[in-house]
Amino acid sequence: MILLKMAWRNIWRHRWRSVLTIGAIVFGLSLNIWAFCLTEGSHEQWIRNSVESFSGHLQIHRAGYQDDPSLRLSFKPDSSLFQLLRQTNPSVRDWGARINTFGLASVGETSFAAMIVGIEPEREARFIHWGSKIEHGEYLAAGDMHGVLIGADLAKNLEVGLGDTVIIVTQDFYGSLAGALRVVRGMFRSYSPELDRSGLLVSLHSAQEMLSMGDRVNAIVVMVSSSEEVETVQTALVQGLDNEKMEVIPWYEILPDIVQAVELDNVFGLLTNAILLLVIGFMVLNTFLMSVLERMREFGIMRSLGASPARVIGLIALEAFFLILVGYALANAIGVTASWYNSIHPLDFSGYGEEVYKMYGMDPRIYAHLTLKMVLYPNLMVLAVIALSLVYPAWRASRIKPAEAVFRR
Amino acid sequence: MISRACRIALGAVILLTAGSLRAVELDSTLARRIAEHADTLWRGKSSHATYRMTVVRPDWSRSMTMESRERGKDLSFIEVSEPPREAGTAFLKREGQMWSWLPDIERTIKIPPSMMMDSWMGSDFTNDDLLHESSLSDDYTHNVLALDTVDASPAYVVELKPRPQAPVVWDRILIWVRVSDFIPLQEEYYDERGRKIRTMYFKDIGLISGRTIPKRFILEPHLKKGQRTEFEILELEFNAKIPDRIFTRQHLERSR
Repeated sequence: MILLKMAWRNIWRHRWRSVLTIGAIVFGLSLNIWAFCLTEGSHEQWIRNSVESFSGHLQIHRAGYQDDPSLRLSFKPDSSLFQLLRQTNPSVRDWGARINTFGLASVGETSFAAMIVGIEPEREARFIHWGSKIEHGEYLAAGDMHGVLIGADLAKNLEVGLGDTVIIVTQDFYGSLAGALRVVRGMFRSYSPELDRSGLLVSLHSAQEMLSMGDRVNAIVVMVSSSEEVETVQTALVQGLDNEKMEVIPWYEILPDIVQAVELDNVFGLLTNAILLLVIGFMVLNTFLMSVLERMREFGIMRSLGASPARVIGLIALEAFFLILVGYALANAIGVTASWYNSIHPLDFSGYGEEVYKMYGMDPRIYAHLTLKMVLYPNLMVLAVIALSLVYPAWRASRIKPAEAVFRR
Repeated sequence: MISRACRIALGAVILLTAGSLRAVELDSTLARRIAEHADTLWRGKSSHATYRMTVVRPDWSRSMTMESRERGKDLSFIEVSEPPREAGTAFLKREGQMWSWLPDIERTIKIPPSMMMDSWMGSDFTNDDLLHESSLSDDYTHNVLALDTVDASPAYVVELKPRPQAPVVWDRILIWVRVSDFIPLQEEYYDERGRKIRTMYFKDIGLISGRTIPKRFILEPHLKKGQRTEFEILELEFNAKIPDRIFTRQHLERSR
């Protein structure tokens, strides 16, 4: 009990030093919590944007399509497949069939490589927000056999406007050269730079006709009600399908580059984090070492009065504990409040290098994602660093020789 | 004594060297003649032919009929007549470039370099195969490797290796030709990693338009299971008179 009292008094004996130490903890920890929540938020958003703007959570293909996409690896979706998707409800939110292939888009003498995607306009409008991505013109109407939506950058490169005709040349299901004329109904800008640069969206039926596909499709894009359920739904679909013939691919295998980019960003995040932690560590080490060295005489007297080295260490630990307690309370309050605020009001970077964000398919407005994990991790990391930086001062204090220390001036 | 032994030994060496030189020379002229024969077999000064091409895939197969007119190895005009979905599609090869008329869009497109290695009309041949028919006699060095039998006919096996700088895709070609008349029976194509990529089989050898030639050939890619392309000659006329205007873009675009 006496230790507690001594520790509490010792802290307020050097008011400014203690305030500075608490300040260091508050600054470092709250910043860490905020940064963690923002990074997590931006990654989630990034992934969500990609998933919701094109890939979907899961895709059902003919087996082998993911490794070697071709029109040949297509299938006729039958009622048993739709039955399966309906059964997996309510986790399955929606789905739509697609055809994907490559070809050339040309106007006059200019031509560019094109990614041709046949979509079910009315179905996809429900889960891929194509409508909001249309920069000019209109979204495809149901049953439009002659229209095309073209990526904004591809349109710029081809110098086409609304109502212009684009020649699409590709290979059909049988591998023959196939050509089609399509009228530009709209230009879109998605979160996928690749799609903006090369995407041609046509209705599924028009793609099937152009490519002699009959009623075959390449993929069923499946949206799940929340991203946590992707694996559950995947397992259910895999169980319900003939795995010799069909495959179910989750978004992170369809978009491996996004997963890698997130991992890379995490590495950079950890580096910044390490620097921040190092700064906190040195600040704490500095104040505590100072307070210990300054009070050598005091500790010497404590020892002379019969206190064991463990009691001296205990005293220092208790002082640290009080500082950490106050610092943590403040830091968490500030960090959580700031993160919570940014989870509602995003940090808006539009206007600062917006092009760069676009290039990486990111949204310039970043929402924080506040979760227990994102608060707990920085707390534990800062605690570990403080504990580490206390070792040396405590060791010094416990090692003093009482006689020498008392008479030291 | 010693000098006599030396002279005999020297003489023997000279004789042996000369003999093997002659054998090599014979070998390479024979090989070269075989390659030249393979080059000119289907190609008169000109030819006018109707083919049926059948593309076989693991889960489907389909046939196409086409009319082909060629002059030398640089000019050719091919037009598909069956099935209706493809009818009217035409190809013109001229000055080392290839154009295609697509009836769906009523337009001519030039086959871009990026599509050269793509399949030609869904077959196992590439656009490049059609455009750059390499010359077996000029682009390769030749060497008779062995005697073999194919379908009970004795055959020479000739190895072709590309000459340096020759614009060819293959690193090695093996050709089996009938000993009696040099008619090709089989060709194997290898890539630079030594993998056998495809084999062409020649069947139904018979007389057509005054020449003995295989009337059916089958191309089998080895890396794709269950795939092959068959060509069957329905009609063929060598040294047919073909007007110049056939091999023009105007004809490609206006003839139909």
